[in-house]
Amino acid sequence: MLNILHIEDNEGDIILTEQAFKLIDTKTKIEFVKNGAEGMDYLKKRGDYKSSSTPDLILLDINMPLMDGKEVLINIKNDQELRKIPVIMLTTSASEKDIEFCYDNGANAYIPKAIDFSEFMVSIEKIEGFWLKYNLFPTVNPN
Amino acid sequence: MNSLSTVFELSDDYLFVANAEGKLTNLSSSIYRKLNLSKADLLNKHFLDLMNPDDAVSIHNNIQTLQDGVDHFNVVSSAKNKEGRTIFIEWNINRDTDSKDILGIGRDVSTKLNEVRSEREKLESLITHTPAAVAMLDNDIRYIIHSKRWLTDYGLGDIDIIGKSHYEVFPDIPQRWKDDHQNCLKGNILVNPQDHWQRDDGTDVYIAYEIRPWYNSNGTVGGIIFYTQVITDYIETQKELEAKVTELRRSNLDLEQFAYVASHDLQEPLRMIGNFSELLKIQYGPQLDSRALEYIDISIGSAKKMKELISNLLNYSRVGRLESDLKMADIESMVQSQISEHQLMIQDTAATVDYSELPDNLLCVPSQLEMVFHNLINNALKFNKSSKPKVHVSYEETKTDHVFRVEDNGIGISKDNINKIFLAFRRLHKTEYPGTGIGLALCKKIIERHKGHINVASSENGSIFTFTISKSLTE
Repeated sequence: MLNILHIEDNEGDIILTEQAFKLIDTKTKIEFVKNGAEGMDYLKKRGDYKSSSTPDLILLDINMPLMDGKEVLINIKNDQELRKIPVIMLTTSASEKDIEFCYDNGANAYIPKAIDFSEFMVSIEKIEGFWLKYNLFPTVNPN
Repeated sequence: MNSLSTVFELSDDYLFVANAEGKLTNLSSSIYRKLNLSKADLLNKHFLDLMNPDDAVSIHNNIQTLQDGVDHFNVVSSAKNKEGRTIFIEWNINRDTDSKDILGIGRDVSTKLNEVRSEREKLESLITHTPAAVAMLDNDIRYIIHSKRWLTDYGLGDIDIIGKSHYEVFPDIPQRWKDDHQNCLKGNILVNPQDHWQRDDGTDVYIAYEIRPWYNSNGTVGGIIFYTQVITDYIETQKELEAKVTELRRSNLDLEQFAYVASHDLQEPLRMIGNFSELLKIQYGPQLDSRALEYIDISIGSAKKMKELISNLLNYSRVGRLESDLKMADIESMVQSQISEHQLMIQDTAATVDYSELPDNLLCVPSQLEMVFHNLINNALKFNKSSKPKVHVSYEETKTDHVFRVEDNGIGISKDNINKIFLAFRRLHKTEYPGTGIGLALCKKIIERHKGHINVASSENGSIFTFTISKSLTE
């Protein structure tokens, strides 16, 4: 089973991702945290997230309160263990600077959020299809 | 003796002999013939009486030098002729070393002097009436001559400054300028296209000037000449203009910033409206009647249209922002990829889109130039009623520019509308053709950012859009 962590502050996007995964009828387990700081707590199993399971894949928004996606990305990719987890940027920003920044700092993919749901479903389906069916994940031990 | 008296009789020059005391002992007849004098009056008188009393002091000083051992001197003095006119005689006064007699030979130099004087007057008139602030000064930086404009440009009124020191006329001359003047007296030429002079009364004066030394006939520096131009008005106008340009640039930037923020922030809620309308349809569609589904479809369609509008607006505002870098781009593959992007449209309308040789290495902002090709090819296909729509892209280069042409056999643009098409949100065919009205305005803005221009020639047989990319762009 594929474990995904979606770090996303927008309630609407959380519902959309949740529904999209539900509709493509996958066995993927998806967890949501609402900002970058919580995301890091989750990954480092701190505070409320002591019993969290390490995700196979991270979906990461850029514009978020407390700690934005760029900082989360830097933190993950500078961590000896967490850096092995593929990070997919899922964002509204199509700015060349943002794209360049994320790849510079080790993002594994950069996918813009779609305006219409059917298109969004297609991208989720492809993400899920590729990473679940074809990709082999490393073993990650955050502690 | 005889021959001497003949010379004295016939000479046209003025000759005299005087004894050691200067008393006249013999005079040529020319003196009586031509000057307003009589022989009886002059014999035994001092030879100075032949000359203008006004010149007496300087002549007297010269006579002293004769006594000190110098054997001759020259002097010019005026006299009246028989007709009462003033003439000028150049006297060559010699002392005979043995007899100590004084021998004088005078020649009328009026014509020569008048010529020199007339030359001088011409030059003076030229300087006086020069429409620029010009002044000639001596070694002590005292005025010799100046143009009228010198007085008016420096607000001196109608005063007489000839002979006065420049520093007396302008007590607020800065020391650095005084140093410049001394420097110039050493033979240097100083040129300054713009200098600022803070006057003591607080006014700011801007001057362009050239200061040159002038030379005496013996090659020594006689003083300096100022060629100056007061450019205060010009500088002030320029400053105002610069301020306006800055203001305009800022307000343009504000507008772009506003468009960027507005469209960016509009995108988020719109994305939610679009997505959730669709999710609603997918999840609750089976429970809704056909009218409810139709309403949802309208919502989805409107959200899509608005999304397109916003994304165009975002593109438009981004062109002005310095987010993009110049890079080398392969234009052929750029156009090729635009053709591929329009494949569906091309198939649907049985169109042909082709191109002749295009550069594979051109400096531009590739993402922006691609938008230009996208819009022009898209328009050429969209505004086309031909049974076989054709679009052709071609290229040529001039010394300064890369020139691209996009030709079509579409509906063309009427004369009334041809000037409006590059304005944002100007849609000529609102009902018949879909669109946001930003495309060509975006093209124009992009091309202008590439130091080029875009224009269109059109008839009922189609349109030709021509745009240029400057070759002067640098990475």
